[in-house]
Order: sequence, then structure tokens, then C-alpha cells
Amino acid sequence: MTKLPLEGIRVADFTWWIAGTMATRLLAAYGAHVIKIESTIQRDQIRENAQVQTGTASLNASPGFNGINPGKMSMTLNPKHPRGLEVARRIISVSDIVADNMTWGAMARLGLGYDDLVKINPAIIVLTMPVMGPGGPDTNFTGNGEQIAASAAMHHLTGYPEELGMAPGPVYPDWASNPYHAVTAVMAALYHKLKTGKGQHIVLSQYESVVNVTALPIMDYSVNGRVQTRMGNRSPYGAPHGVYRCQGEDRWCAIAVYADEEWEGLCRAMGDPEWSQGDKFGTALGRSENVDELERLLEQWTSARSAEEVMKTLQAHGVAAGVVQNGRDLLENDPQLKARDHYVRMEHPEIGSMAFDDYPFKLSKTPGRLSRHAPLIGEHNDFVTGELLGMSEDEVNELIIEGVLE
Amino acid sequence: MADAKSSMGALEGVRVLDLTGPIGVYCGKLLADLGADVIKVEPPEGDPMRSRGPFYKDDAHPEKSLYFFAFNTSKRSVTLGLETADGREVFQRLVQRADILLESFPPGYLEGLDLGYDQLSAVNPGLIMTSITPFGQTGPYKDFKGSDLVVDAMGGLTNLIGNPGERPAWTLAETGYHQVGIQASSATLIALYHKTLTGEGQYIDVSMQQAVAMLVPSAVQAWDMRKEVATRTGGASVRAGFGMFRCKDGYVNMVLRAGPPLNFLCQWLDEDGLEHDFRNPQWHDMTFRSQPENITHLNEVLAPWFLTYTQREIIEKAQSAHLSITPVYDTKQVREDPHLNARGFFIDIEHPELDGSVTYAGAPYGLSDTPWRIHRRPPLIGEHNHEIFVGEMGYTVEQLAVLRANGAI
Repeated sequence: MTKLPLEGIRVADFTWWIAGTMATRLLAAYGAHVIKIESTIQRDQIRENAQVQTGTASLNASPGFNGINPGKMSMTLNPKHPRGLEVARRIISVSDIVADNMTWGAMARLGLGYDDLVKINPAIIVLTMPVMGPGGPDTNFTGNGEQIAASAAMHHLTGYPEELGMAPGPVYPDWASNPYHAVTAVMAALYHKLKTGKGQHIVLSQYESVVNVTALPIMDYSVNGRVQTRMGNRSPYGAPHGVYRCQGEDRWCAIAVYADEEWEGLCRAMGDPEWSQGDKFGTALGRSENVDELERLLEQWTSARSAEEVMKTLQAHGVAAGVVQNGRDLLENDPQLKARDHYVRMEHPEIGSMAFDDYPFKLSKTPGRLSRHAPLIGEHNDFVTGELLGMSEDEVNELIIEGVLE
Repeated sequence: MADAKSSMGALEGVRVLDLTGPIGVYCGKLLADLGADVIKVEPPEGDPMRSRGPFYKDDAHPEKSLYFFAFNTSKRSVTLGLETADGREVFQRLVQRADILLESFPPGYLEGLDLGYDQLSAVNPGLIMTSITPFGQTGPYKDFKGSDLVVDAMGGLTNLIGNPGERPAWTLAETGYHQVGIQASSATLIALYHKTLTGEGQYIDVSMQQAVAMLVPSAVQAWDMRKEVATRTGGASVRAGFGMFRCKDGYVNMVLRAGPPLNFLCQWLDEDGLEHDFRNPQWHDMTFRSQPENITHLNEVLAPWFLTYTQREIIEKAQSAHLSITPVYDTKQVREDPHLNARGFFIDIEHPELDGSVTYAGAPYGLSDTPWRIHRRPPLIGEHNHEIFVGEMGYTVEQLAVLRANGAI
């Protein structure tokens, strides 16, 4: 098999929940040796959502956990035991990267802050992902991804204009902006290390990472004093731009028209109905001024057809249109995702077959792979203590008896 | 911070050509602010993105587009007409000296100009070429047109935004475009690492639909494991104590965890003389808290209480006891946020042509040894034609004039 780009890179992974964990998932998929350092006492709480999803209480059965941890190893350590931290330091001494997404200062209080770690391993790259970032009044705030999105004005920019703002779908900071900003920063630091031999400390404020996604509307306020607000599905760049009802229950098709030729394509696709001809909707200005009427008439056409038919008819006429797909559509019905092998199946010893997202990119010469199912808790304690750290059997037994490996 | 070394970016010396539109433009910005030399290759009349608003002081001028500004910091600009033979020749010479090429044309467009990966890697085998498109380079929908909304829909995101049973809704911040841009930068830098180790370049085919689909594993798992179709839940709480509350001067978002945070809230309510039953142990049980009548009950008790505090008062007291209540901001409040401003997050960049400065969002991450930085303000159209074509590639001023006359630059 091809050698993957990150083979030989080891990650001591203290991340939990989603944002940090999704970052190390990608490093693992491209060959990094990721050791997730967990504790049976202070558990990654996402291991506990199995109950809700599968009705079992096993820490190994959570689909949430298993979806974001493939390709990693798991080592359990008791963080309250001094020897537990000693083992953690030994793992770090043979690692290239240390990652965590705890509250600011939590790692330092354990004696595992950046200043401590460079003493053990001078070229270490440390990725720290606090909620807010140090140096301001809110440094020690705790918050989850949903709260971070709301602070970054995402809720303000999402939903219906006449109602309170709402979440931009499933926790955007955790699944989207923060893990991949983190990987971008880590890869830049690894590149720099390759060139200079130097490691460094990456501090990713999860809040500021998300503010980079809402940066343009914020800039509009800074420059023009305008507070942009959610517009449903309408766009400042053209009309119609929206989600239109189609045949069937809860079936919709998204349509985006910007240029005149796209509008003309839309008209042809509908068979040039009388209402669409003439000046009223013939210009971008006309479409925008009469948008309520335009959307009502367009929806009369879409609602008599299936969402798939609307999409295909419009696309054949050069108009951007796409079915509002649900989880079932993605997994079973979408021929594009199938052709691209987006979902891969892996067997997990406790929950059986499960579908995983593969990545939206494949590197042509070194395609990444999800090499193994997510680890059972503590599955690799023997490997880490024995093969990696070279501890004797007696030493390991002593650690077990003292409750260090919990 | 004043010495030259500390202003070096991590990607110093990496050369990037950026031909992307809105779908990929954030990728090039990330690389540029990390210190790569990112050259934007625009058509002679300027990047179409320059016609996207909002505009500086609402003046709809191609060199005043805030949309262009926001995504093109630290980049240089040359103009090239890729549809002219001369333009293609100059482009091939640019590619010879590049490490990375980013593009977002419809699949097949560059091949049609003899500028596809096969042709370009023949002149530069170490080239990393990253193509960012709505649906990827292969598959039955590869030629479908996309937009942020349309691909959010196809990636399963739109179905999860909005009120149950009502029309799905959207986010006015092009979240899908950002998501695919950040994923593309991650992938490109993994390939750069490989190239630095081995000298080998490669092709990266990035699909925005798949990037968006990575946001919704819970909906896919709901079908995969339980044959349930997940749908939108709107702004309503799904568990008592989780969600938005209105206070005196705005909104806050509460995540009321069981244990000490809930106990602290009870003590606080007692101090304020508010009658409540949250000391009852069942409020620590999340199944109990998921029942609609309990959500309603908690909201009814707490809504008037929240209204007696300002956003800051309530957040600071709550956070001091690890009760997670956070602000819900609009764009103005983010700009004025005391925490961001204490950290010096926002950055004013001089735009001499505008007789003023523009305030930009700061770093999405801090790198201690190679700080993130806006290295220069976004470029004017073809601002670096002379610098790059003459100064760095060795064209003469006369050759440049001929190229210009031919519509190549």
C-alpha cells in the first residue's frame, strides 16, 4: 500500500467531544499514529450517548463516538494519579503533536501545558483549542459548539426574518470550521518544522475560528454600519433564491438564480409560461422587486413535480438546483455520493456495520483511508505501555494495581 | 513582534496560484495569511467576485467589493486571459514555478484549454493541483451547477435548518463555501507535506457536496441505525435548560448541565426569591428534561427571571460558577465584543486608494513561532502584473505591451 503522507507522525490526543476529535480523525486518515488518551473515570462524554441512540449503556457502542474516532488507538490513564500523568508525559516524549480542546488552562493545571511539554520534547507541536482564547475578560468561559456559533452571530444570520434566529444546522463549529482550521494550522506547523526543526504552540480560539466564517457580514457592519439579518433563503445576489415545495411530504428543491441567462433557462425549463415573459421578471431588479409574487408562481410549478424532477429539469437548462436531501437520501438514494464512495462501511465489534463519512477529497497519489474502527476504551493499553514505551510486565502490573491505567 | 523573523509565516516560500471563485476562495486566503505567496490569476476585466457586494461605503465599484476584500487578503494579483494562446503560455510559465494551483472552474474547463492536471503536471511534476467544485470531478452530477444554498441542500444541511414542518431555511454567511474551503486547505497542506518529503505532486478533487455532508452524520446515522428520517427542530429547546433566553438587553444561550451547575442555578434563584422546583432530583435526569411539559415548565419559570438581568450581568455571574450561559450576538455585538477587542482580534488594514482603512476579522488560529498575519491588503486588478511578469519572470516591458494588446493580460 502507498505510504501515507503523515506516516511516522505520532499524536498524543487529549481531545474529546467533537471539534478537536474531528481534527485528529483527519490526521489519522492520512497516516498519523493517533493515540487517544482517555480515562474511564473522566470519560469522553460522547461515549455516553449510546444509550440514546442504541439503547445500550456500553461505552463502546456510541455511534457518535465511533463515527469520529476511526483509525485511532485508545489508551486509558487516570489523570488524578501522579503516575498517570507520568505515563502521559512518556507518550508525549515520543510524539510529534499534542492536541486538546479543554477549557483554557486545564492542561497546564495538569502539568501538561505547553511550557511543561517543551521541556520534555523541545520540537513538540501543541494544538490547544480553548473556547475563547486567553487575554480577555471571557478567557475562562465554557461553552459548547452551539453556544459558540450563537456568540459568533451565526444564529442571528440563520432562519426566518420575522422570528428569532436559530442554529445553522448541526453544530457548525464542531463539524465544520474548527476541526479543519485546526488541521490547516497543524499542517502549516508541521511544514515549518520540516523546514526548520522547530515546533510551536497553536492556540485556536474556537470562537474566533467561527467569527472567520461570519467575517463578511461583520465587515459590512464595521465599514457601512449595516447589521445584516437573516433573510430566510433569500440572497442579496439574485432572485429567485430559495427552497420550494415539491410533490410529496416534506420534499423541497433549492433553486438559485443570479444572472439573466439563468433566469431565461428557468423560464425555458418551465415551458415559458405566460407569467414569466415580459419585463416584470425580465431583469434582476424586476425579479428582486417582485420576489414574493415570483416565488409564489414558481412554487406552483415546483409543487406539481417531484423534487428530483425539478432538479434535473432545471439543471438540464443550466440552472443551479438541488433536492433538499435528508439522511435517507444521502445514504441510499443519491447516485452522486454513491459514485464517489462517500460513505464507507466498517464493522465495529459492538455495534456491527456502520456507515462513515469518507473525506470530500482524495489525494490522487496518497489517498487517505479510514483504516480501523474506532477503538474500544483502553483497547491499546498493552500496545502503548509495552511496544511503544517498552515497560516491563511487572511495571505494567504495578500500574494496573495502583489504578493508573483507568 | 518587531523583528523580521517573527513576521515570517509558516508557509513562507510556498508559491500558490489561485484561480478560484466564491466556492474555493477561502482556501487561498488561509494559505496567504499563513505566509504563502498566493497569486490570484484574474481575467483581464477583473475577477467576477469583485462585483459582489456589499461594497465599501456602498459604492458599487470593482475595487471596493468587501466580498472580494474579505477573501483575498495577503494575495497578489495578475491578469491573464486564459482563452488566448499567449495568456495560456504565460500561465504555463507561472505554473512551472508554482507549488500549488487552486481552481474552481466547472469540471473539464481547464482540460479544454490544455491546462488540466495531466498537461500541467507534465511541465511541473511537483505541482499540487486542488480543484474545488460543487459535486466533484466524477459522477453523474459532476456537471450540475451549484451555489452555497443548492449544495447545502444536496449535502443534507438545509433539511436540518428551520422549523419542523415548515420551509427549510439558510444561513446568510455561506457556511458551505467556508466548509469546503477549509477542508480544501487541510487537504492541500497534507499534499504539500508529502511533496516536501518526496518531491511528488498530486491532484486533489474536492467536492463541496461531500464537505457539507460531513456536517450531518447524525442524520445519516439516524437512518442507518434506526431507520428514522431526522428533520429540523427550529430554535425550540429539545431539553429543558438548553437554549436561548431573552434578558434585559439581548439574548443568551444556556447549557444547564446536571450536577453543580444546576445546583448553582437553584441557589441563585433562591437568593433572588424566585419560587421553583428545580431542587427536585429529577431535574438532573436528561430523559425527564426531554419531556415537552418539563421544557415548557422550565421556560415559564425562568423566562421572567432572565428578563431581570442584562446579558453581561447574567453571563459573568453564571460563568464564575461554571454554569454555561453565553451571549447570543448579532454582527454589531461581535464587532464590539469586549473579549475580542481585548485580544486585539480585529485588524485595521490601510487601503491608501480608499483614503481609509478597513477592519478585518483576525486570526482563526494563533501560531506562536510563525504568527498568522494579513501580509498585505487585497490586491487591485492586475496590481502585480509588472512586478511578477517583468520583475520575477523576465518578460520585457515591450513583451508586456504586446501581451496586453493581444488581450492576454
